[in-house]
Amino acid sequence: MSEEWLGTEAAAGESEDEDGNEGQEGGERRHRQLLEAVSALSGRKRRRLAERTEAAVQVSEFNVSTKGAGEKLVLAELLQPIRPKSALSRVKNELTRVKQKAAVELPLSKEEAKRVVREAAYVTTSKDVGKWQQIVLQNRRAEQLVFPLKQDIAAVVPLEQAVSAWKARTPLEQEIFGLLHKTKQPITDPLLTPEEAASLQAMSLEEARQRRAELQKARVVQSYYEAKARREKKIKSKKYHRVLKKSKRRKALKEFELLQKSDPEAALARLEELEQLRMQERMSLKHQNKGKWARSRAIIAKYDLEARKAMQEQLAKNKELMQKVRVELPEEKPDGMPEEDLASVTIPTIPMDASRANPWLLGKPSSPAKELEAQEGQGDLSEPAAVESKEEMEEEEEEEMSEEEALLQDFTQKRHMRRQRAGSPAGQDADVTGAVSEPPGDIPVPLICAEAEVSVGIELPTGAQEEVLLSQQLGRARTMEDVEALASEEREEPAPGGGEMGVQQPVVAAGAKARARQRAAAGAGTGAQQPVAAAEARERQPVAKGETRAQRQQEEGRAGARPARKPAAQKQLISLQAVLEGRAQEVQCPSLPVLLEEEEGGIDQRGVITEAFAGDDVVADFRREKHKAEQDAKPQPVNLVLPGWGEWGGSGLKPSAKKIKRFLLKPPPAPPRKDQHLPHVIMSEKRNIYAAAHQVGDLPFPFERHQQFEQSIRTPVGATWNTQRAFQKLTAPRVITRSGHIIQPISAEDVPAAARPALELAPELRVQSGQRRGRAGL
Amino acid sequence: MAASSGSVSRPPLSAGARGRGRGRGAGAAPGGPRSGSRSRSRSRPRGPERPRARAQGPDPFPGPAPLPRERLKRFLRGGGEKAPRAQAPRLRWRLKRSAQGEEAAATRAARTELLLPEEPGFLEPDPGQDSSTITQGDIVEAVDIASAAKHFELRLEQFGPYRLDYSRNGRHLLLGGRRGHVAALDWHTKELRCEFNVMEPLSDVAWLHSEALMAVAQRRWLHVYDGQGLELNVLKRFPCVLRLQFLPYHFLLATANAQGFLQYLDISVGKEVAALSTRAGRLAVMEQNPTTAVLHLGHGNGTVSLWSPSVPEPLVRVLCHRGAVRALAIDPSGTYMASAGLDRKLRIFDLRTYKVLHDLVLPLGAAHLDFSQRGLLAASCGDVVQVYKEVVKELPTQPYLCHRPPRPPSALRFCPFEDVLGAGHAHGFTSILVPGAGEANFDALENNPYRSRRQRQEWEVKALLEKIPAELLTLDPSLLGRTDTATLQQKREERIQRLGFDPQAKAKFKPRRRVKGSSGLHRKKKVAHEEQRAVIQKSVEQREQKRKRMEKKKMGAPPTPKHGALERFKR
Repeated sequence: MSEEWLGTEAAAGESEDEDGNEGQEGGERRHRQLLEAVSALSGRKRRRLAERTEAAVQVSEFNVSTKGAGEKLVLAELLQPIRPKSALSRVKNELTRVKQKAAVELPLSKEEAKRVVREAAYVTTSKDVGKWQQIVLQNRRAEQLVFPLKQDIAAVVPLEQAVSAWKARTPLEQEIFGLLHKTKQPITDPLLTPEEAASLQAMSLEEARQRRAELQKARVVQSYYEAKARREKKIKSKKYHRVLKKSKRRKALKEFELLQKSDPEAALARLEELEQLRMQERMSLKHQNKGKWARSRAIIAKYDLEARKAMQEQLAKNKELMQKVRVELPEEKPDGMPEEDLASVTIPTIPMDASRANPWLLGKPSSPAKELEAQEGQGDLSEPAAVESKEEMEEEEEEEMSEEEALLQDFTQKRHMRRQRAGSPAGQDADVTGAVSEPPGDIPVPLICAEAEVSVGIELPTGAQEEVLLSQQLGRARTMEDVEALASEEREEPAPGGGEMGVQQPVVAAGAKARARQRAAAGAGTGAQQPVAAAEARERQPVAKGETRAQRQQEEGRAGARPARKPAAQKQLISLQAVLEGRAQEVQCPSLPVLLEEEEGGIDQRGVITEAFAGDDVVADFRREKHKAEQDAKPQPVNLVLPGWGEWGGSGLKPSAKKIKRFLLKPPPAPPRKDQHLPHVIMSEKRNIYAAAHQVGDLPFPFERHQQFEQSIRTPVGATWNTQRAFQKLTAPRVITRSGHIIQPISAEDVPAAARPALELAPELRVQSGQRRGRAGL
Repeated sequence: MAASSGSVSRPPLSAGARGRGRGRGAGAAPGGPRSGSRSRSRSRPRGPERPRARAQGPDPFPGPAPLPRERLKRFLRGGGEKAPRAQAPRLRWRLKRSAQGEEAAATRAARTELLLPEEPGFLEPDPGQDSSTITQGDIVEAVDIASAAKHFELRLEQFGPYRLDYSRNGRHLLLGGRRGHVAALDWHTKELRCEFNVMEPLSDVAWLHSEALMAVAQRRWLHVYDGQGLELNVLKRFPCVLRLQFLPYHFLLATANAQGFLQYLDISVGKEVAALSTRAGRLAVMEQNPTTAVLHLGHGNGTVSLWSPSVPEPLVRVLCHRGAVRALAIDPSGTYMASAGLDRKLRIFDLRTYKVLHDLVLPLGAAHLDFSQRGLLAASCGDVVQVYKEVVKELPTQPYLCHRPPRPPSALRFCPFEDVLGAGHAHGFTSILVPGAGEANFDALENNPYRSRRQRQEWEVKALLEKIPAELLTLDPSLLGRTDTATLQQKREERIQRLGFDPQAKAKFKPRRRVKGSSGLHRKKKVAHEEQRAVIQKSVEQREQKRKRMEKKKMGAPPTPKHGALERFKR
């Protein structure tokens, strides 16, 4: 712009010069040319001032010159207008530009914007406040809080520090101190050695944090890995596992090869390991189709191709595992032999001494088929029970060899017993034992039955049978109920054969006896039950006499069926008479009373006489009273029947049964009385409303169950019921404030160091925290 | 007390002085009673005695001495239902802390047992010897002088069979002869505090909360005297009282009278708390349960009934004997009851289950029973006093001790904190030595036999402050510690019943008077001359009746009125 301006001025100057000095025209022109040349040097295209140098037809008032007349034409310029130029191109451009630009979203409404801000504020604030969570909890749980929290604890300066002016003077002292200094021992008692102090300062807080973070990370990574492993382990796809296994095997092979090359000794060790594995496999029955799974497969194998396949796979595996690792000496075979299996790996260079030392490593592998055969042969024989019995027998034989001859008899007996026990649960095993102990061709009958037949016979009284049962099935029939049940079962068997009456009578007697025994056992602790039980027995006898046979049978059948549920019902049978009578013991007294004088004196003669004759029929009276009390305590039905409604009413007409049924409201039955099993006791069911007024009616706040509340108020806190110290402890105030001290709101400084890890510490605080001690009461 | 420390002499009024006579003097008399000790070992298991030189080393038994769980258990207030685990952590924390506090308090209490100076023991006979054959003379010979002085006899032949009562600390004795003689004495020093005659027959005497007040049930009314024998009160609302029982923690004096009324008097405020009609005739047998303060009454029909002042019916009725109940006794733990009846039987009941534990036939039956603090049971059979040991554990075959006072006893009481059994009879009073009867150690803040006057006054104030309201006297003392699970409705009804009105009841709706002008000046409308009218009406009626009667006489039989079915259509 300024250049242009300068140019115009210069041009104006020229024109003036033209007008003024014609003579200098030539020089002027030259000067101009020079200027042009100079300006051309800069290379910049300048808009030159339009200057009319020639005449033209059209003279523009806007200084339009025929500029460019001397310039060359460019072809491209000429060609340009040929291309059709749409008039909408500009619009199109605009459109594309608009399209490229994303739409500006509508600004949020005021409420929403506020909400967002609020949420963000909440998050930050809660995070900020959350740091205090731990401390608040701690303070709430604290048994006692002493305010102000920050207390200046007067540090006790050790005497040795206080008296620092003291110096060693005597030669002995000097010598001692010299020694101490030399070993850098602390001179004063509580001070630390420099090493200790250094170790205390060794780890700063930052470092510790870093450490912790690292550890945390490691743990996290480990847990991830574990989770992954667990996940992979759970994959059920067989194909996956197959592939996995294959890859593993391949990997192992590769590793082994590498190992072989790098460290032949290690490879040998690995090989030995394999050998160990093989030995283990030989010892175990893992893949010999003996397990639970394998046996189940064996049953199905007949019908299921897959099961058969699985079995075969197992056996193959066994074979494979049992195959001996063939070690070939390098002399015999050069390396380069293709490796087919991990089991038949050859090692190129084996140190001779090692192979010599282990003769098993030399030579050819024993034929696996043979071994398998042997195994199978053993397997045929070895049903587990048989093996066991064999082993036991062997053991026992050994023992017998060492023990005396007299014990021999005992052992055989024992063995017999054991075999019986083994034989009882399943008939299958019984066969085996039979094969061992008895001649073949024995019928697979449970041994107990056989023995029972032999020793007892059919027409044995059932009491004796019961004894037999007791002795034989101690393991199973633990309780008397069981025995009774057994007895009833037994009874059913001989019933059709023998006389019913004759058999059943003793059974019942035995059952009753058993029950009596049971009850006696139950009441043994208190001894209170004794007379009751005896009384019941006494009562039952006449009843049994009076009843018909059929009734008795029924009753007994019931008793036999469910004896355990009886006691509740039986308790009702306890009679008041029995309670009162009981067996009383006479006292042996050295000095018997000789005379019974009128103890009360003659004043209340009448009272004494009435007392003496009052109890003529106390039992009946009491029973009546109890019945009355029971009736009174029962909730009464509410009668809402209105006679005459919907039907005829009047004297002699009763409301219909339907109506009564509808309008007589029966209350729910009362809970069972407390004295229902105590015939000699009447207990009042009335609530003590005056005492209930003092009870706590509603459960106080933090408690969830009334038992919890009761537990918490169980212990009295008063000094009357506690020792002085316990009383002080139990009634210590939760908060203690010191008079004259200002209680400031809690700050990070107030929190003792122990509670602080959650709290973010300011750097200057961190220094202080090391020096501050934990406060008592927090 | 251990026999080895028998010769140690103590100052006469020291705390240990009471322990004398507890089976003392081993070997003092050959063939005589031998003292035995059932000492509980209280020493810390410290191993062998360490020499002084080793004391400088570290303590081989660091920390507090181990406390056996059984010892701790006696101080734990367990029982009740086990609380389920709390859901809220805060509550869990709180419960845990309270449990810890409880345990700590119990531990402290158990450790302080170490401070108890005395150890109890029983008379142990030589092998082959029967302890019941040992006479009082033998015992007196064997024991020290102070203990021997506790066996004595008071000959008071004039005023008939005596009733007696010991004060709660066992220091003072109150005697009441049937013919009106009342005597109060400090029986340790045999110092007579007061003696007077009430000039009418009396049936029972009882100390109130301290030795400064006593109640005497005289023929007509109940009288209260002070320690000097000054009559303080005549309670005319309590007539014909036969038996007295003082409930120390409730400050209640319970009286049973000849008309079958059981009355409770609160002596701290002088108010009759309850008067219950038992409807069971004469109440000559009454005992209290020392733990629950429930009263046990024995009746003529062989039952024993249990009463509390807040329930108007017996809490429990137990049929104990075929004949009338003659005597009752309840053991200090409140768990066992002994009853004797006219059927000559002595029965021990478990009060938790109301079942008979033991059944014993005594010669002539027992007329009086009493349990000692350590569970000895004294029974007077005819003229013999028998003492049984460990009755609740096993059925006794023979008594532990026997003694024959000059007359058949009319009352039996064990003295608290002493090995002494007092028996009142027609010829006075006998104090019998029963080794092992009393509690060896006393709680000086509760019952101090050696307290001074100031101490007694202080105790009195404290006891009054801790007085238990009469309403809380229930069969189950743990009732207050349980929450009341009754429904709201029930509670409201009970409240109305207690107060006698419904506090929440709304006033009955009364429509507002709407008529103008009549509100202030409304005049009551009444029948004029009401009384006069009534009189007139009455006279008119009488006249009418008279007239009718005259008519009847004139007419003779009245004609039967016609009441046909169609009568009503008649017109």
